[in-house]
Amino acid sequence: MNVGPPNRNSKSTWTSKLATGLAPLVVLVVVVIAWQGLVWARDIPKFLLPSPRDIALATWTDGPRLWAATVRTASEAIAGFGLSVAVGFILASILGQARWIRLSLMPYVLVFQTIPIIGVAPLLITWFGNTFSTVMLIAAFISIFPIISNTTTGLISVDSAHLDLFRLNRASRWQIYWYLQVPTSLPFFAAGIRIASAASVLGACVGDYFVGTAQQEGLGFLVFQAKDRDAGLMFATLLVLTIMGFVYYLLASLFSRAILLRWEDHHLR
Amino acid sequence: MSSHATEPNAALAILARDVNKSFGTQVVLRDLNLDIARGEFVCFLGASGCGKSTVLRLMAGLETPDAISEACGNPARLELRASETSDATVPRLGFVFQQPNLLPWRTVDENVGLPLRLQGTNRGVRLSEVERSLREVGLTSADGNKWPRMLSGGMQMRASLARALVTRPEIMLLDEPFSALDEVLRQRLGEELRQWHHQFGWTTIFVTHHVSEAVFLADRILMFRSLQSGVEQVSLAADLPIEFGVARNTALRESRDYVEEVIRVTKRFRELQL
Repeated sequence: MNVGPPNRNSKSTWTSKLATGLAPLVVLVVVVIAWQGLVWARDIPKFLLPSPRDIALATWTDGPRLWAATVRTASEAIAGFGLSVAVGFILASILGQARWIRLSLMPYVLVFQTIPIIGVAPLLITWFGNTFSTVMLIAAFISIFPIISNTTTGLISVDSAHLDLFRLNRASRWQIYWYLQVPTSLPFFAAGIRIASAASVLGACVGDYFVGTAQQEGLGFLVFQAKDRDAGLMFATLLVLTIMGFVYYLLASLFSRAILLRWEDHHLR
Repeated sequence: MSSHATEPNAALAILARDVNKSFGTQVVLRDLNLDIARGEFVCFLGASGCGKSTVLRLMAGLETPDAISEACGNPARLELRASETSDATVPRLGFVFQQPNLLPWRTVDENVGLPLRLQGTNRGVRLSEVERSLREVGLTSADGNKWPRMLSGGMQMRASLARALVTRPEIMLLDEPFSALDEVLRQRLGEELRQWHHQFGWTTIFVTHHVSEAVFLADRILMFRSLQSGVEQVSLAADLPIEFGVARNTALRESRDYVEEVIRVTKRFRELQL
């Protein structure tokens, strides 16, 4: 898309929309054909680079297995995302109450954020076992920081004149939080949600990789399993993960639009 | 007019004695003493940054005065009194900001009703009071359903006035409310404000830096002067009665008396700024 205001009154809106939608598809088709052609022409072995045809075949033959793994990872990501939104919002609400609370707690939030997930995952497995909950926690661990950080910033971005208005009317702490701070923070919160949505898929994938067993394999585990045996399946799994991340981001964007309906001025489109 | 100080206390709406305000080491208001009678319309006139808005914020309770006056050692007294007919001990205040200051995520109705909502007034009363307020300021219930951003600047200011009068205040404090509006609209709202002042029996304080606006609106103009560092002086510099009576309309604005009064006050204003 071009930078600049959208051209709303143009009569060619319909065709330009079609072109905008078609352009990426054309690119996709060209890339797939070139890829397939390259593999055929150079006779590249499948374990190095499977052709689109190999990937499609693997998707077809391993369909049920792939689907089961997709459902698992999708649920883990959603659960982790939900957990990080809930806990992140509560933590941000505490941080947003007073400067001294931020000063005393923010360093630990930052330290927590810098702990590498690779180091935390084995610990979580020790505590919670090779379970759905462990993966959910890993997904939440990765996606919670943007929520905390954005929402806290939003909660303290209250306009001073608005605050005067509330103080004039002797608003309680709770009323200031609920009627002023929370609405002010929502555009920031929405931006945090969109970042967290993609991160939660990454977290679920990493979690699968650590936690997965043959009985309960998610997409992260499947990639690992297929690496040496079936390059077609591995690529198919990667494809599904990519689509999942994209779909989650779209859903989060729709959700953030819904909660921002009242903020047209600040709308982060 | 100094004679106000001799009026019986029962008629006083606002009393200030030895009120100082400093932020850190910077003194922004020095030794304010004033009496404002019930039903008076007083304009605070002064250059930008002379502390006149600070006085308004002190009265509204948004700032607290320094505990004691540095000059005379007396404790500060700042009292807002409820009328005798009122059962409250503290008068209800209306406050109008320089900007409309509406919450963009709430409709005009919800914005106007906000003070009542914060007080916990029940929904039925709230809705009828909001409707009444909108009507008083010349907005329709259709306007009430809109978002603030859909209203013009003048209508946003009307909504802001509606919010200030929804609690049926006794004392109305306005901080340069019309300064962002065009001249014609400012004059029209000034005339309406003066009408509401009588209709609702307010004691009104109106902060402005426009001499002509102050002369048109006020029963009394209090002139403020910027504090210069190192010079001992009070920030409230002059107390001028304006005797145009109750009727303030376009005819007054075009009268010779009004023009002469504006010239007189402007001259005084200029002298004080030097």
